[in-house]
Amino acid sequence: MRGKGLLVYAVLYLAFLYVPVLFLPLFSFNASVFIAFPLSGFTTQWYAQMAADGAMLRALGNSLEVGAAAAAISTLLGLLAAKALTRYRVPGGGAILALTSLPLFIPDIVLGIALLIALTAAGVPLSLVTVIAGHCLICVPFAITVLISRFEGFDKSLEEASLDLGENGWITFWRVTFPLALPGIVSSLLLTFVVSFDEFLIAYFLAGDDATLPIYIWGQLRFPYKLPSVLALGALILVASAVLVVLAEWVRSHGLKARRHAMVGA
Amino acid sequence: MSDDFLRIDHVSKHFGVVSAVDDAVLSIARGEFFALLGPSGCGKTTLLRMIAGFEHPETGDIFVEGQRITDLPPNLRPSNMVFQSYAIFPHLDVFDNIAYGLRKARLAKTELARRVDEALAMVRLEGFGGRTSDQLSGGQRQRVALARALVKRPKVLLLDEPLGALDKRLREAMQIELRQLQKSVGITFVFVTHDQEEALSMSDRIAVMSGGRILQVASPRELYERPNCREVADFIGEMNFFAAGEIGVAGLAAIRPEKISLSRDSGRMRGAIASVAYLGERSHYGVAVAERAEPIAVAAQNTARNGFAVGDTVWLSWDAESVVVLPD
Repeated sequence: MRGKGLLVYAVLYLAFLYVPVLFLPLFSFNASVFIAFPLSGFTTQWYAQMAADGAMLRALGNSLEVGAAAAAISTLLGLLAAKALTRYRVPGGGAILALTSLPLFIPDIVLGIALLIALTAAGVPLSLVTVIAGHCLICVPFAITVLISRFEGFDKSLEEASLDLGENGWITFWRVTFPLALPGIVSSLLLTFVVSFDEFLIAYFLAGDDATLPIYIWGQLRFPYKLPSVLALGALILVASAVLVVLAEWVRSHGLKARRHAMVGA
Repeated sequence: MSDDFLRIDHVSKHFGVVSAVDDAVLSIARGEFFALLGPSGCGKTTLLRMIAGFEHPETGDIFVEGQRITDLPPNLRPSNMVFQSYAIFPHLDVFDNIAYGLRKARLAKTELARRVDEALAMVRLEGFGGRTSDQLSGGQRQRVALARALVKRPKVLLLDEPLGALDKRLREAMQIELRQLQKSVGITFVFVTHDQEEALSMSDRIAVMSGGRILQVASPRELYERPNCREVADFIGEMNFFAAGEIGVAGLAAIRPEKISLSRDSGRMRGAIASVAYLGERSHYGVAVAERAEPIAVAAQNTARNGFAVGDTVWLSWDAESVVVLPD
């Protein structure tokens, strides 16, 4: 029966997606260094070990810092680009959009090496700042895409109406454009933060001595006794991501509602 | 009444190679209900948006009360606009939509509420202040847009196809209401429409536009009775055209279908009924005439005994003053 086959496929697919991920919190409470069944008892010692691991926490802090900066910068740049491309007659607008989207199609390893060569040649010292710059390159296309679809979702005569009613461009932005684009701005911030947070290749080439979390974890995989505390951290990040996803979904559906209002009568 | 209240002085604008507005000259009087009428793409909306300040003319100037406003941004112009989509702010309720343009006036809270309530009453939406745009019908949204613009007490109210989004019955009711509203507030209304009936029934004067040019500016009656060119005659209502010499006029001549009468015995021209459309109080006939490709359209009031059938031989007649002579 076709319906049954589809159901089996769907279950297998979801299992493949979620079961390995769920092993993370499971084994993070397992009282054994070895990740294997049967489970040998409940412990929170890995969380304690993680909390005491200064290098890991520093890497986490670095990643949060880089992610927040890359998200803020790329969303701001994306906002300006999306506003320009959807609201003004920009000569060569299509070409500009295509050119800024290029990092989506260049393999990150190529981009990472190219940036490393260029920055080294220019004498720029490698640090978290160079990672942020590199991450902005790959985050901006996501930000532009999310924000353009948001801008296209509401009638541009709303902004004209504000001008017509006596507000200048700047006040119009704060009273009309920003509140209407807010769901898109939040989506963009979340998306670009996640893209930066788990990015490995570019960070690996551009980080210098300051490891971000993916680089640090990759380095720890050689030491089996450190793995459980990585699992503990992974479990916490998982919970944080779940919260973010729920938050983003809530913002999105909220945004859809506002967008429906904006589209009515258009 | 100053004839020079709103003056459009040789204004032109191109979009690429397309001439959107071509050397437009207009003078609109204070308190006038003025229509820009034409098919889509004729430049009427571009002209309206130039008055509002959303488009900048390449050449020419716009004056309000003798003051040149050509280079003023929209937020500093003495006009307000009702957008075709109404552009009700979806993140604000009706009250805040109407109060939007009053922020700069720095009114006391009670004064602000009074002004907004007054505007709501003017468009008969008392008690709707707390609603959001999705809780309003199309007609109500249009009233909110009107109230939001009128609460600013503009010198000129611009309306872009204000009734276009409404269904036919509501549109007819709003035509009358809009007209009454305009008379009561005494503000100059400039509105854009492609609907000739709407323009004829509402306006003091109409500018007919085509291909970016203003063809004729006149009162509805004059526009209908004395069109100044074939294009206007064709666009406003039905018209029969006669080539030079066909009905004894040296140039191109035109007669409205309802200005021609039919008779069985005598008249100026003989023909045969080719088609009949019975419309209740009147009938539309197509009359085939020898040596003329197009049948002549005749609209006749129906009485108990004047019905004609296809194939009937009829005589057509008309008054000499019903003939409009047009430039070729």
